[in-house]
Amino acid sequence: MKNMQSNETLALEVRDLKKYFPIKKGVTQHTVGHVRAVDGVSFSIPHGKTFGLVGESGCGKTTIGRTILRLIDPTEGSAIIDGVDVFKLKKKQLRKIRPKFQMIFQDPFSSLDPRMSVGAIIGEAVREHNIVPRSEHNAYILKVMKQCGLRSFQVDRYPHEFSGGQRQRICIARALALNPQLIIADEPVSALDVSIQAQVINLMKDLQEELGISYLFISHDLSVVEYISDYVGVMYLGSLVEMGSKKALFKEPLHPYTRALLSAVPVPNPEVKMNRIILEGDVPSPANPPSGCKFHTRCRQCMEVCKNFEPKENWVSEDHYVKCHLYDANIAETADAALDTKSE
Amino acid sequence: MSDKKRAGELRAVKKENLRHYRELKKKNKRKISESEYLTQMRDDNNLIEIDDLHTFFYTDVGTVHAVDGVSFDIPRGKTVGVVGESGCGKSVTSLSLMRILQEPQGQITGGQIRFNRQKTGQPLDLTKAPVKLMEAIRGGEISMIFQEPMTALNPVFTIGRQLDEVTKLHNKSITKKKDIMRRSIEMLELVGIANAMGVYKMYPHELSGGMRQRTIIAMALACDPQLIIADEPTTALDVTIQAQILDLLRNLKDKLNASIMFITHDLGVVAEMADYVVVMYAGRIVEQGTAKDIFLNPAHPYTIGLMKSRPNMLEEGERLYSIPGNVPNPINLPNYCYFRNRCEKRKDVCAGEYPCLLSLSPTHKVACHLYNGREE
Repeated sequence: MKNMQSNETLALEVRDLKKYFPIKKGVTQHTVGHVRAVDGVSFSIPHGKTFGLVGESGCGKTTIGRTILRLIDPTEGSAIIDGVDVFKLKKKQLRKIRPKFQMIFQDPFSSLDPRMSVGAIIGEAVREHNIVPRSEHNAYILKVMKQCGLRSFQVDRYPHEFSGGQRQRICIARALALNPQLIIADEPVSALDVSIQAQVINLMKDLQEELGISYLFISHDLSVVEYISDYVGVMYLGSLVEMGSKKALFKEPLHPYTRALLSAVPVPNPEVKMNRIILEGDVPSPANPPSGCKFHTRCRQCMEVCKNFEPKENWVSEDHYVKCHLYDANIAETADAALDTKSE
Repeated sequence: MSDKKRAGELRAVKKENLRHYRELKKKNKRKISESEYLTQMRDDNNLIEIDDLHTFFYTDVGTVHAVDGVSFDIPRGKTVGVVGESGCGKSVTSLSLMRILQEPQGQITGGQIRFNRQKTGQPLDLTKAPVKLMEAIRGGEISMIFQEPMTALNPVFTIGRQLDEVTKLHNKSITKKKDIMRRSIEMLELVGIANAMGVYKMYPHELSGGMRQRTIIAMALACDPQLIIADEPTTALDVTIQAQILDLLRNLKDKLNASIMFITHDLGVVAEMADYVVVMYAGRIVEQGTAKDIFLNPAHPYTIGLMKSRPNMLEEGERLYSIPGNVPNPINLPNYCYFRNRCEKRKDVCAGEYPCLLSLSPTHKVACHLYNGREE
């Protein structure tokens, strides 16, 4: 992943994405500060692969998904889909490219219009973007529904007649109908029961194999992310602290935060006694993040250098990096160099 | 079915419901003598014995059998985990125990909940106890931790005021304002809040999710309850905070010698917390036993399916197992095994009547026809 494959093999490339939300105060609503929701995140997703984004609530993972889609405007950075920087597009151009990336939302109960039938929900965007000729419109919707495990007689039904798992299928069908190359799935299964979760995850995997879609899979559930992802990025307070292939990251988690996250997942076996790392306290406020390494306030292996200097990416292998001073072979040098520049 | 016929049916349902509502009203007005609700425990080591509990909801579209003949015990100082998908009746069981069902639609229609009351030494039946007595028990001897910490706290009062209220109501031995406050701060310190004095003066919106859940736990523990009902206490929290809260609950249980009824849909959490596990499906118990019984030797096809459908971090599988179909409609439940239509191991007997609970071992029980022949 380091010297990534050429741009053509990438479904999405995000470079140095930043999103600051202003904090406004007073009668004049002047800006008094910024919440750094996303603070310099870069990653890329190859075609037909899944990138899992994990982290606690409030770490900015949903904001990343929404900025890539331009649902909210980014502060800085670029997101390249098909050689085009999405962030630089004008409204009309953006509309043209929108079918290429679609979203599945977390809550299937509020993301479907209760007054539209399933056929209308799935068909609306198809008609707008002229995906198929008008005469084939109906047949196309039925085909997509079938792909997503919905039956043809359900085309006239309304969302309230469906259970949570089936609604999520409708959401997937709506996204899929536009032949996207990338689907951003924001916690698609966390509102569902365990047995239904498995059905939806299997459907997403099958569709990926069949159609070669890429997913940006945002979730806080580590076991689901491990199951579906090829690459995983761990976020903390707006930046990626560790990224790598699934195998590397889950077999050998390096960052103290990743280790704590993994050890906190309960295992359904009463005989397994896990060596749990319990993190003290809460996530600091992103409006006023700690200096140096953002994790140092909760880190057990915190060193003096962590409090003052932000760690850089340390590539431990071809496809695995960690932002932590523990893995920086020349901490002393970096610290000295940084001190020098400061004193100058 | 024609619309006319359907409308007539719905009218009949409404009429029948009204009759039930009136009956309940009458029952609530009546004075209840002590002899009616005092009972004997089957085993003195049990804190709670739920016996054949039936809780129905009389809705406009039909009667929902939310809890249909559930029996299990909660021994002293132990944790009982209740697992199941949404709508299986696990929360309604706990609401019945506290008698805080949405009346008059929700009613306990049968069965007993025997509570081994330590305060008086006399066991009593919670389903029949008068409302005044229930008010004393609720929050004092049996307390509850809810799923969503933000909705469980009142946003317009400070944490301190809400904590004081519990002590004021249930602990009559403390009367001075200063002592009540000291007790509240003690409780906040007990649940691991470092800045107890500061939090005492804060409003709920100033706290993070984990801190809110801690204050809720402090509130639940303020009167040294014998039973803590935790209804999905960690579902709204992140894994790292969940680990903190579970650790806290485990330590406090030992410290206070209380029992916990732990309701959740997360099998991993149950495995960590519970001594005994009850698996529910569509209002009935399908399997119960010790945590080891359930997790190492699951017997019911539903329990096995639940375990398999969880992506496991320790093993690598090709495809996730998923239970086909959906939970049956709770209004028109079939008269055969509720799980039959989703079950992969169904046999001809399964079309017959609902299977009763069979004992596989002294602690392990399962409601499935598959094990009928193997009964000792």
